[in-house]
Amino acid sequence: MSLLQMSFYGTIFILAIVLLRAAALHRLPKKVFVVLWYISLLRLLVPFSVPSAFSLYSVLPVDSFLQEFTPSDTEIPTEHFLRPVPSPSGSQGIVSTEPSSDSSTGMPSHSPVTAVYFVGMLGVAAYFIITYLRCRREFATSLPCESPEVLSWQSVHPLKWEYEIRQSDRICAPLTYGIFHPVILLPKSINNEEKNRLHYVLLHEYTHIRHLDTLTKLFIILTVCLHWFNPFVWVMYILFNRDIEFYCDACVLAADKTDSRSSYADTLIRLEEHCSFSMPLCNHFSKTAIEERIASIMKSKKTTFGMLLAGVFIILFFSITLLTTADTAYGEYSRLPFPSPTMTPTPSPAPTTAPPTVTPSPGPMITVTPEEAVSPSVQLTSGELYETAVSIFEQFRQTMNNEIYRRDYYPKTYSLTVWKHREDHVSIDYCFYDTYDRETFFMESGVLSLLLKDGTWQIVAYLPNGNAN
Amino acid sequence: MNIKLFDSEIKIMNVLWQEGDVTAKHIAEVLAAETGWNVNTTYTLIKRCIKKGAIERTEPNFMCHALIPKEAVQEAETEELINKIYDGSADKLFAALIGGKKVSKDQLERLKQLVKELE
Repeated sequence: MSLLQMSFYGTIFILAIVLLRAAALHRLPKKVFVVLWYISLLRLLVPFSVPSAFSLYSVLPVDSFLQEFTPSDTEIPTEHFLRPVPSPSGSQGIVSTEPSSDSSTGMPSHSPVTAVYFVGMLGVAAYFIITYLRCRREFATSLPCESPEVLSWQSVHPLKWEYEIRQSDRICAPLTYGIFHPVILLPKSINNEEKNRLHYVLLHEYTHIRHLDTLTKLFIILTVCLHWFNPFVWVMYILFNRDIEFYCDACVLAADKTDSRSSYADTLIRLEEHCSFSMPLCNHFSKTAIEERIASIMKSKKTTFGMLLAGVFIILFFSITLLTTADTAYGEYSRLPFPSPTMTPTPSPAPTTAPPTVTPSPGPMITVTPEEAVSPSVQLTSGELYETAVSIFEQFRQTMNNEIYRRDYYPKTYSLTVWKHREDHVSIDYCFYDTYDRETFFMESGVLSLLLKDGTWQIVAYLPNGNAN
Repeated sequence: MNIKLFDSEIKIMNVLWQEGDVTAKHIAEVLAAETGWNVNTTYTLIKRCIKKGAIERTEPNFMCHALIPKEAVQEAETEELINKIYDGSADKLFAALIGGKKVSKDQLERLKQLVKELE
């Protein structure tokens, strides 16, 4: 799966979350949104492809749209992709074409597009890195917290890993930074706050550390760097961060036994009155989203079992329909385990006659020594060579779909037998069927001959047996 | 005093006020124990103080000399406190200190002495 494909699928997922958020932000547990955003990160960072019949993309005609961005099939094992070209005389000729693009990323290599991409990516990465380093340098001058209330709070709230609470007169709002050595940084003015407010602030930052939010933010920024060209990924960046804060707020309120929503909201407002500046990798009370946060806190209800159930269902639904890809090429096509009744499993004609040429079309002459002609061909049913032969056959059938048959009438079912005649010569007896109205019709049978040239297997002959009946 | 010092810089000045002229290395050692700063951080702060004109550097050994006396900083901070919180009137701060019972009997005696001396 190429970067552009991942970006595309990720965009759809992000859009779905945005829609869900618009519809039900305050009616579902906040954790649901955070989990969905994590899944969107997974989609954007990990190139996996799980075909499924339930996928949204089985219904939407995405493939043709994506074809424009992935000029060559990314799963071709051979470098030279041979495509059968129907020649005017009716017999099949073989033409070899070299792909002109880099198949691993689905983007034309050595072109200005790739250069622009890398420049953009490095620029975005540089911005984040420089901002982060400047912040860290400033945070380094912080002092240990002197307030006894803070220290006593810390002793009551231990964590699996060590964390520090420090104070600085250079910041205006509390924040948390550091992945391996987390630090809660409090503004100096916090010493004047009441014990209750202090408790909320500390609990909020403590929750950020517990949830490893700083690590999550690192992954978000990594995703933004990789997909910097995609505006929806920036939308994800903003909304994911916001939802992380909401989830933290919800946890703080849940941990507090008393119904202290208005008191907590008040704390936030008071803190927001101070300045705040942009620090991409630190968790802090965000000034821009403060109204949404207050609303989220005041509107929050106790999480009922129904809400939990709805959340789980939504997560599963999104994953199944949007994380999977269209069920085309290899998924639904079934392989009959037995050779077709009309084809007897005989070795391909080539080695038994001497001197044989395997292909009628321009291709390499395969000469068989008398010893080899005598030694029997072996039918393969498993192993690396078998798998290679089968995968080449499947690519070949895919091209047949595109080139030879009409789109709506192509062989979905086939049976095949793989024969190994020599170390570098394999042939496949195939039989194509089509199912229509629950009946199976025979379409075509023939032989596909493969030769090992320069370390790669190539199709050298495609020999269908006359017309399909 | 026109120089505005942050808390971290005041910490550095404190070492100089308490111990007199010392090397930057010594300041780094002292503060590492007190605040957990690494050597680079301390050196960066010392350089910032030099830039602000609060510290003077003499070679050899990067000797640091405080250019501002502690009293000047205390005065400036008090001024700021009075202006910010006590509406610019010093006697309100005074009243707050006494009213808040932050002054012991001995301290009160000494205050009375001071007032007498000023008259």
